[in-house]
Amino acid sequence: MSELFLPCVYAFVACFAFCFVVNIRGRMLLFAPLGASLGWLVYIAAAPAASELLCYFFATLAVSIYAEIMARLHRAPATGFLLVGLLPLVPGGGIYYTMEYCISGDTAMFLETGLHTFGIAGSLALGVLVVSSIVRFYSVVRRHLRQKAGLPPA
Amino acid sequence: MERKGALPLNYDELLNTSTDIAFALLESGAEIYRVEEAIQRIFRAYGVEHGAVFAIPTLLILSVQDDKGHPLTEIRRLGGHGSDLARVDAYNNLCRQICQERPSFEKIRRELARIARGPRYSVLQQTAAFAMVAFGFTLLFGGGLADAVCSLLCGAAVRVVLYQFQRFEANSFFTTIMASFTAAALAFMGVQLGLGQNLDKIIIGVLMNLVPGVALTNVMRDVIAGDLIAGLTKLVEALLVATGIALGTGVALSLGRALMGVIA
Repeated sequence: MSELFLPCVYAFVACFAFCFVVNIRGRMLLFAPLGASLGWLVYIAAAPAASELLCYFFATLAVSIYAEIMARLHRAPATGFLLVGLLPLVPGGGIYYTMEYCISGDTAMFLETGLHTFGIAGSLALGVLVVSSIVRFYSVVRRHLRQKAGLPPA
Repeated sequence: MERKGALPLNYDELLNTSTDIAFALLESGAEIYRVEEAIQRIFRAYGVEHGAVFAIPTLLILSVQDDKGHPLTEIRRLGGHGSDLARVDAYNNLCRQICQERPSFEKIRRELARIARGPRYSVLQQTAAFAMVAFGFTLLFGGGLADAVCSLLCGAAVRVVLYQFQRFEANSFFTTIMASFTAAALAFMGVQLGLGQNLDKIIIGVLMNLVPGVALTNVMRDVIAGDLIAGLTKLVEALLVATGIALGTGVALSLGRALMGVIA
């Protein structure tokens, strides 16, 4: 249990501190890092069932959905929740190990790790893309329906 | 559309104030579509029929036609942008309020100035934050407590280096290289002195402070909204920062290992 729970606490601590870097204030200081914990929980939970890139994708989906819900609940831009929530998933380790293989002259591993790092970044991008596109599509459809029904735009 | 009160709309004032708002939003790190939509809404709220706005991360163009059909345009250049989410949020709310109440331009400018004066975290608080980010991520990526303490110190040092370079307005690529060089060099020394064991975990934890997560997230949101030029600009920025991190740490580690080879 603790190997599932403890990393989420670490992610919360790290991302809580990161809120101070991007000037997040008020109750968002609590809710933004919670998204990071959620994302990391999904990442760990998906690990036995899916490939690593898929884990990143699912975790990003979770963080993005969480960000959109929180943005509506708190009437704040979704970006803040996304930035903080996705931070643990950004491939800092990938960049480091790619560099490490590069300077040790191991070209095969350098290319493999480099491509893997790009893959992770791509998974993140795809996850954000899917959720944001659906949300945008939904809001356009809703505006259209309200106009048709003669209601004022919400 | 009739405006409240008998005064005719002052188009110069409208254009200047809207540009100020757009500039403030963009500078605080708001997405392109947020800036453009906010300005379109304000134009609509004041009954401007022919108004256009174009923004990319380094340039703003706003144009309106006054009631006689005379075109007015303002162009403003942006140096760089940070990420200040409290301000994005505040400016966003201000835009919503402007659209609902259509206050006088003087009042809008007062509000803008008030938000710009709003609280920021002090350098000391930010240094502590950088240290804690490094601490948390070292633990998260599997480092021990000793490693985490080592990265705590490196994280604080990175903030100091960043602050010094930003004060002299060095470009972000060079700043990133120097900051990650410091991180790796200090971590290397820490491990040599026996403060931590896992060099990789310490360095990765500290580097999470510099990683282009903000740029990467913004790229996707811009691309989805159809702002491809802005997306490309930020993508290049993200790639440059990632390269800078690799360069800085790589040089520090190579130097460190070469020195150790000479001493041993």
